Amino acid sequence: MNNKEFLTELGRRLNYNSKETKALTDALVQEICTQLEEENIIAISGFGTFEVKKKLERVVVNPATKQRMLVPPKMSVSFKVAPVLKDKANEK
Amino acid sequence: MDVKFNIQDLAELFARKNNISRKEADLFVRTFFDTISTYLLREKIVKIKGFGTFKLVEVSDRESVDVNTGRRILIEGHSKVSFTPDNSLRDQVNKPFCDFETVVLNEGTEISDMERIDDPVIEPHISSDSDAGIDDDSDVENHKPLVVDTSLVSEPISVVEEGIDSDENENSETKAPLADNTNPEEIEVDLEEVLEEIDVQSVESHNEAEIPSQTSDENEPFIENADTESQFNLTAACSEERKETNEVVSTSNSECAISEDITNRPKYVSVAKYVFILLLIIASYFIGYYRILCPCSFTPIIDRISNDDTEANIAVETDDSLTVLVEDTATNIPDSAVVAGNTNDNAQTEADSLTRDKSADIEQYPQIPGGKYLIVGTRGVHVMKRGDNLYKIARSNYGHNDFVKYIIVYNQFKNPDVIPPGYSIKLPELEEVK
Repeated sequence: MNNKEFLTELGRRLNYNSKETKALTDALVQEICTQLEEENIIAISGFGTFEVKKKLERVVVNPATKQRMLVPPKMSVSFKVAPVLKDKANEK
Repeated sequence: MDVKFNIQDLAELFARKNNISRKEADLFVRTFFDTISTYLLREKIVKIKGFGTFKLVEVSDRESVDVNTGRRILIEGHSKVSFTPDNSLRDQVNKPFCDFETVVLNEGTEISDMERIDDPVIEPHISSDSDAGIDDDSDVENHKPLVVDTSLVSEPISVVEEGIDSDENENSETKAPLADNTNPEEIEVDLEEVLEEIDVQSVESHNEAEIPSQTSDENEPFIENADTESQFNLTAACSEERKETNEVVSTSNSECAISEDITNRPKYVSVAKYVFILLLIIASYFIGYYRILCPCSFTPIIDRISNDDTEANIAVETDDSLTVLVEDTATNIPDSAVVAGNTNDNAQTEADSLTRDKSADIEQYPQIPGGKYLIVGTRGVHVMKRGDNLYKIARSNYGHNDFVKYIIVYNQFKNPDVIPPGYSIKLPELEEVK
């Protein structure tokens, strides 16, 4: 399901027109991104938790060339699925 | 930071920003995630622009070993929800570290060494950080090259500020309420102002850091390990401090700040050292070099010449006085004046003859027109060796390079730049022009 289909479906469920849906979705996504940027945790019950994790830098070895590389530290978004959704996914 | 937002909080923020009712926003957020989960289960993949991709991944059965019993067990296949953030979100979140790039380590970089020396140095810091620092994984993460440090520069500044802040209790107390309401940039500006004030006072607080900083000269790269480790904790700690002046946080901050201090200080210190040494070298060159270190035959020449003169003068005078005495004893007192006049004349003629001799001498040697010294004879002969040059000879014999021109003129070199080894050059005897 791509973005367009998703927007259509969301609009249908909420009885919004496509323009409104797009604007609100963008705003919501923007809001979530902003919160994540500030390293806040976003916990959506029944869905999962978005969290920013700090990864320290590490040394990796390219197995082919045996070349050692230093991977810089980074912040990455992690998503932990809620047990409810996890169970639902496993039922099928 | 590290505040937990649930649907309600998110909806409230969302409503406020988009001028829609709280209820509407709440419904929208719920439906948004509900739609995602529904379609995720149905279609296994949901893409949302600007946010990311949710995927349902099938994990097949696999065998494993029960860690407690050591028996082989079968982990059944299941579905897993994966979320891959969109590039825009990934970059936005990774903004503090966006300048980093993966670096190829050179052959010589010895990581195990770093770790070994690393431990004792950063031990005190780690102990304070460990509670916050442990959450991150991987055992190789201690390896810390300098490269990373350079790009971290922006953060340590604020960190130091935080640290000093906490050192100065009064300031931190006054600051904390401020920080509550303001955004990070403003806080940093505030802190910078405080930093300026504190700079003077912070000397005491630096004393603690002073001792480790000396050792850190050798161990600099390793302490930087500690820094990046504490880096993360600090960002966390900073946020907490903005919320409340937690004393625990501030103490850990101050420790971290000291460690940050240590890394920042040696750079300035070493730069300052180099500059100081350079200045010292230059100063000593210009002030003391010629008098103290240079084997200076420059001044002696003048001395010698003037000594010759005075000797000559003395000789003349003694001659005079002798004649005067002789005359005195022989003639009457009134005559003595006349005689004295005569003797003066004699002395003058003697001096004249001397200068005449000299000028005759001078004429037979080539001279430098307008030169400060006259060539009056040959002082010695120098046989050129390989590696010799005229400047060197001039310096060692006369005390200064500039005397080379007298040697050149005296020897009538056509091409003074090329003198074959074994060639003997004459060194002129010089006399200062009066």
